[in-house]
Amino acid sequence: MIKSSQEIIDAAVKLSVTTRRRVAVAVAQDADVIGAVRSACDDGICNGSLFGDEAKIRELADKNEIILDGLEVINETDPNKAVTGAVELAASGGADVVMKGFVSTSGLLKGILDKRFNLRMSPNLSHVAVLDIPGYHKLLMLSDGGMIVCPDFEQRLDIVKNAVLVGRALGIDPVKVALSAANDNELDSMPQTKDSARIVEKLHQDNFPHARLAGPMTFDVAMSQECANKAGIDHPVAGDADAYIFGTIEECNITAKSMIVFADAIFAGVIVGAKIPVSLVSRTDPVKGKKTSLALACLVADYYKQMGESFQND
Amino acid sequence: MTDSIKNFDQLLSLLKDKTTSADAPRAGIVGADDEVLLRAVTDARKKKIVKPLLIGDKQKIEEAAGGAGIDVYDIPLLDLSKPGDMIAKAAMMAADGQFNYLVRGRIPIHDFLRILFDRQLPFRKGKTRISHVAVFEHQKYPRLLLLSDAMVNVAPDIKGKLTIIDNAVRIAGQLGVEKPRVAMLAAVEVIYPGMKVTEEGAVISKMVDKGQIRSCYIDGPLSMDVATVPDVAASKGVHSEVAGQADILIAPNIETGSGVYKAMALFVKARTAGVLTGGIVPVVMPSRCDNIDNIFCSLALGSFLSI
Repeated sequence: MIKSSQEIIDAAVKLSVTTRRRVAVAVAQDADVIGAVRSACDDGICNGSLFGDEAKIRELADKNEIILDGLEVINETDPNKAVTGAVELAASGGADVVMKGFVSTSGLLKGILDKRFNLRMSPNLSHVAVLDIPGYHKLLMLSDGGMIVCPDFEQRLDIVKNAVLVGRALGIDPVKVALSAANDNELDSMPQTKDSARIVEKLHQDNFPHARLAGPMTFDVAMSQECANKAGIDHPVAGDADAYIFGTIEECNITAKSMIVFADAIFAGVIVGAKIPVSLVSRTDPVKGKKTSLALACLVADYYKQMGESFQND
Repeated sequence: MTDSIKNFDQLLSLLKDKTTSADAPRAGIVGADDEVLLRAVTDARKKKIVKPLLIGDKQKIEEAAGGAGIDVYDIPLLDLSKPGDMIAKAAMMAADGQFNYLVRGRIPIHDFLRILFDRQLPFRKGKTRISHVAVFEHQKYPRLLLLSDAMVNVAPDIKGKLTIIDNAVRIAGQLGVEKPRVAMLAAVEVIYPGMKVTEEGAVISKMVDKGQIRSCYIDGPLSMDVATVPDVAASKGVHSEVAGQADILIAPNIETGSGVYKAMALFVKARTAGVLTGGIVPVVMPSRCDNIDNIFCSLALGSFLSI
């Protein structure tokens, strides 16, 4: 079981010793993205294929003193075609991960979900953040703070399932998942407490495998045995959550960022739900976070491969 | 003009100055049978920043005190065994001018609020909306950081948010922040039509532009990092009176407020205090993840706000 961001990087490097993993960057004319791929490549995490406007890519690389040696540059000035090129390479097995460059997330996802490539795995794609928080005894997955704004019941089910996939890719079994609320009891005055309870109930009914579920569960109960004891809650997930699933994008994004800003948590993120993991890094992520994101996507890709086609077509 | 208070040590020393000339504020500790709370209360009492009255089950309080190895026999105590009675008595005594503020002890938040603000009790102040304001001190942040609402208002609409802002601005004012910088938190820092939280942030900040709100600066929507980290604000091209230097964070809903509050309490080496505003006196609300220092900070805040 992988417990820190450094262990994510180490595990990805280990995978790349036998067969070097490859990241296909869609619309690569973005200095931060090129820099992230460069440093991941230097660390032995993966190789990179940069699809985009070659002149601009080289100009940005020069300006930012990034050496492109060893990275493949595929000239495609039309952004849509650059997306298609990157996705096609991944779909044909030539790359393990697609990475977002200078293109909107929706533009990229449109390319990935293009029916020709048959890459959709879940009805809903979602973003899973993996945080390495100093003071917590393992990694914490948070979702969804990046894609689905106000998920309905079905979407929240898929958000849980996608997070469990990432947890499995990190070697966690069962994945302990808490469904968020501001109170640990079902209250009429707080609809989210009931929504979270229904999600847990439904997944239990369906015998959803490889997960221990709890909800509604407040953040402190999920993350601290001491708080759980004080609240009188005795549950395997309490104080030991691997994943905390929020009700809205704001709740997840703002809580995660408060730990990134004030608790020095290291953030990595990946979009799951397609057969190819999608990596996206933000300009403001520190280098370590960007590298961890790419490494995480490589681990997720590897997990899909281990599970094989049958699993992907479930 | 007074300087704004930058941290709890400053608040404490100002409070001590005030309590040398006047009596320490009187606080009703409602549901006092909690070990950590009793430690903080006796400590604050020794430092003469509060005159407590313990309200609760005498036997349980003495057990909790005994477990902590502290002596509470010289602190006045009101022996009541039912939480409902404790809260009702505290509310009536506050209305009677016997308390400057209340402290929530070992009573679940939901029950505590429901009973305390029951319209039968004289604790609600007219039509004022009740809201919770958390105060954080972090070594990396050059000012106190306020957050609302983590405990009371579940899904406030624009009107509700305006009164939450108003309550927080008043607390910031008492802490010496003359024109506080208010960030309407969201997942992004631009407006997406249809993404409700960004629309609300935009409408409320526009009200400042129109001169409808003059007591504070407001910018929204802002993400957490843009609101609090100058470098991130600059790198994302967000320039405002608020970006990178917020005094007050307004959460879109209670789940977000609660998530941030608990993340701060658990993983951030921050000093934390929390107070409820909108009643006839402030109510200090220590949370179950607070350590003794944080509860002490909450008591100091309660005393400071009510002196």
